[in-house]
Amino acid sequence: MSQENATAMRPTPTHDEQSRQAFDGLLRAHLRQHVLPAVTTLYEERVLPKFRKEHERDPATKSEVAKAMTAENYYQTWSYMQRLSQQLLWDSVIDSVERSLPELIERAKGLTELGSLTLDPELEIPRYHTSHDIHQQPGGYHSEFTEDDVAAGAIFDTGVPIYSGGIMGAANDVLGQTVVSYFRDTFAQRKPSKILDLGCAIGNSTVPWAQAFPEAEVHGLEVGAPCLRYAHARANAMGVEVHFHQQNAESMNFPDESFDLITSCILLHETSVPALANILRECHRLLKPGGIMMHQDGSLTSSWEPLRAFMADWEVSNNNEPFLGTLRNLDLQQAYVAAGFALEKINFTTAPVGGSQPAQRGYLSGFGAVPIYLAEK
Amino acid sequence: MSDTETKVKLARVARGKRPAYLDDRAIDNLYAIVVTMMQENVVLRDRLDTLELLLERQGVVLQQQIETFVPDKEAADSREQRNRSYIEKLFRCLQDDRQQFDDKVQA
Repeated sequence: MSQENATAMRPTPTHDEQSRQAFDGLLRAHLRQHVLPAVTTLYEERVLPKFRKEHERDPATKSEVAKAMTAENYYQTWSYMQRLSQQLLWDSVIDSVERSLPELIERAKGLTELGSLTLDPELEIPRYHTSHDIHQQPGGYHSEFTEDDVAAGAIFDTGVPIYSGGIMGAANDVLGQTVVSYFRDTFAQRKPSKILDLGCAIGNSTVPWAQAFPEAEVHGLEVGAPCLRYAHARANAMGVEVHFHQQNAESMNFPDESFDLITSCILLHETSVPALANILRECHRLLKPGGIMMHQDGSLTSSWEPLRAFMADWEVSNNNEPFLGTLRNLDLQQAYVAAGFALEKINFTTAPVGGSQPAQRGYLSGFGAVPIYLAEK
Repeated sequence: MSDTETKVKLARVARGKRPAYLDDRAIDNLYAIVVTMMQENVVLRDRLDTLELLLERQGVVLQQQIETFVPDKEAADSREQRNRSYIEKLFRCLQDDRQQFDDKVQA
C-alpha cells in the first residue's frame, strides 16, 4: 500500500498545467534523442580535425575541449535548449505548486503522526545553497515563502520525474532503492539498528532504508525546512517512520558513535571542498566502530578521455552544480583518509541501478551502475 | 482582501551565474520566448483536443469537465504523437544544421 502513497503530497495539475509539464518532458526527450547524439559527431567530424590541424595533436584536457566546443553554433544551441528545458520544467511545476500551496500545507499538517520533525529556524544555511539555486530550482531547497511552507519539497518531487524522464520510478526512489539493494547484497549479515541519511531533501532515499530495515531507527538530515516538512508528510502518507532533522551535515548534534550506517545519495557534489572535509569528519565521529559510511555520487572523471569528461560536466555551469566539476577531479580517497578512515577499509565501487531489478530505460539508460564511495570505521 | 492579494508568490528565477550561449544574449532570449510560445501552443491544442473529445461524447461541455478531463490511452498516445511531431517540425532547422557535419543523419 505504501509505495502508491509516495505521490500523496504532490499537487494535482489542472488540464493546462498537465499539458505544459508533458510538453517539457517531450522537449527533453526530443533533445536527448534527436539533438544530443550529434554533439559527439560534431566533435569527431569537425572540432577534432580542426583542433589537430591547428595544434598538431589531440586535445589533452576537458578545458581544451570546452573551448573548442562552446565556439560551435550547434553545441551552443543544444546546450542552451537543454538549459531552457530545465527552466520551463520548474516554471510549469511551480504553476501547480503555487496554486495548490494552501491545500498542500493543510495536507502536510494532517500527516505528522509517525516519526518526528525537528526544525531549527536559527540554522545558518550554507553558502553552497544560498549563492546559487541548485539545479536552477528557483528558491532552491531552503527558501520559505509562507508559514509552514512545503513548496520547495513539492516542486522538487513533482519536477524530478520530468527531469529524469521517469527513470527515478513512480516514487522518485530508484537511487535510494539502488543503495539499499547494494548494502543488502554486500553486507547480508548486517542489520543496522540506527541509520542516518544525509542531505535527504524530501526523504525519497531515506524511506527505502526504513522499509528495508523496519526494526531500525532511521534519521534523515537536511538544511531546507520546506523539504523536511514535505519529507515528514510524505513518509507518513507512506506509513513509514522516519525522524527528520534540520541540521547541517558539517556539524551535527548527535553524540559520538551514534550510528551503524551513515549514507547519502547525490549529496557530496552539492557542497564544497571544506564542507566535504567537515561532513566526512562528522561521519567518522558519528559512526560506531565497524560502522559503514556509504555515499552515492557522480563518477570521478580525472582518467576519462577529454570529450567524455567535458560532457559529464555539462551540469556544472549550465545547471548550477558548481562543485560537481571539482569533486570529479578530487582525490576523494585521500579526503576519506584525512577524515580518519583507514585506507584498507575504503572501497570505491559501483552499484547496479535499481539493484537486482533490470535497469530501467530513460535519462540514465547509459549508466548501468552508479558510483558508491564506501568506508568502514 | 481578494484572493490575488493573499496568494503566496513563489520565486520564478533561479539565483546563480548565467553562462552565455549564442552569439548575442538577445538570441538566447528570443529562443526562450519562442520555445515558451511553442509550449503554450501545445497547451491550446491539447485543450481543443479535450473539447472535441468531450463534445463528441456528450454535446454540451462545462469548463470543470475540461479541467478534470483525463484522456484514455488511445487519446493520450495520439496527443503525445502529435506533440512529438510538432516539436520535430519546429526543430527541423537543427537537423539541417546537423547535415553539415553528419552525413549519417536522416533529413
